[in-house]
Amino acid sequence: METMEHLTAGQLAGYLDAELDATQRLVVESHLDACVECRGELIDLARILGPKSARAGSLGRIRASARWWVPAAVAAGLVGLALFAPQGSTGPLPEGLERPGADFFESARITTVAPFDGATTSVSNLVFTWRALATETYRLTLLTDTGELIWTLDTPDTVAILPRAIVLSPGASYFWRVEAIADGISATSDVQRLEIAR
Amino acid sequence: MGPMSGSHLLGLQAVLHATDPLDQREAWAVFVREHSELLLRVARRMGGGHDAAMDRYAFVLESLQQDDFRRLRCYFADGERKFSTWLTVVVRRLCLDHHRHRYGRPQGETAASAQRRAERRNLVDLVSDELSLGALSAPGSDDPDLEIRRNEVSRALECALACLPASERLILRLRFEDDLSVPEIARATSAGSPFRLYRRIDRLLRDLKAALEESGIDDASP
Repeated sequence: METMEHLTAGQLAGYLDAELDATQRLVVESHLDACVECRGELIDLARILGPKSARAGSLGRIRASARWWVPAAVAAGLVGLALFAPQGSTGPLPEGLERPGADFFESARITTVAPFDGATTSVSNLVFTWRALATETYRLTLLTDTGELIWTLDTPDTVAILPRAIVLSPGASYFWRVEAIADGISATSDVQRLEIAR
Repeated sequence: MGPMSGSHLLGLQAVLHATDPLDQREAWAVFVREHSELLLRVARRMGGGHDAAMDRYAFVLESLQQDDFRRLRCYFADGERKFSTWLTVVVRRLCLDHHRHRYGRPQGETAASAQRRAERRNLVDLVSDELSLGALSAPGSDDPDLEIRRNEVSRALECALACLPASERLILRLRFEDDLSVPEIARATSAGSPFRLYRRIDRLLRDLKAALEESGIDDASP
């Protein structure tokens, strides 16, 4: 294993963007199966790049756009950083330009609280909870495990209770996610799975 | 030529093919402006606060320019994938190089993480737990029959896993060895949406269990 050649940047990029043909994909997957280091690199890169839908356009039934909101002052700061910051220097920027804020580069992502991913829950008093973002409206979407839309709700709260009119089947699996809807901004949670107790 | 935004390709070519130093300097400034967000995002990802991120950012810019933009020229010989993704890989590797130059060891490698790696359970044990085959790796008992049974189960499961296509074994490794969530696996692989992936993992586990039952193995009990 010490002498194994690792994947090239092109192979990793092609795999992450699903651009490899079947033979190339087999080579990459066989290597990833055997190489902890390359697998670790793949995992970290996927976290940096974010959802595939944000990289390559929206896919599937669920709208899954994640755009960064760039305040004008921060955008100006980015340009200033590139143009005015001397190579190798971390010195002060010209007046009026600012370094990006601490959370600027984080992908806009909503953190779900409950039910946790993979939870088995009772159909009665099913409550969805998530952490707040700076937005006025959230959209909760609930799907069957075949992707059929069951329920969607727009709410200003970070809590949503499944209405009694929505009937879920005991033993069945469902998927849900939350999106933050604001003017020119959106953020999403990961898709969460839940199973209804029998 | 692979898929690549036209403007990114033109910008890269302008940098690499400029004959006049002033034109190249201008083209490089344009290139940096276009990709600074990506470069900063990756640099910041490695932790250590803003100053550390800016150090890495500066190191990346310097490294990309070295030897007449040798690293950027490699793009065309490396499959010509989506440029932003390719650049993300290259920049991340440069940031790791910067950390090694500075600290002389892989980032994040501590005695604790090295210990965790040494204690990492293998895929056979983890899938066995998932299939409820009994504690293959539980502290051994004095019962030789139980030990023989455990070895039989372990060998059968190892064989069943080895018969899987690499893509399916990779999904199981990411799920059980690397402890990724299903959405994270979907993000990292070509395995489809989380919906499809949940069903695929369920099917894989069912098939593995069926393969073991065909071999006469229901659990690890003698």
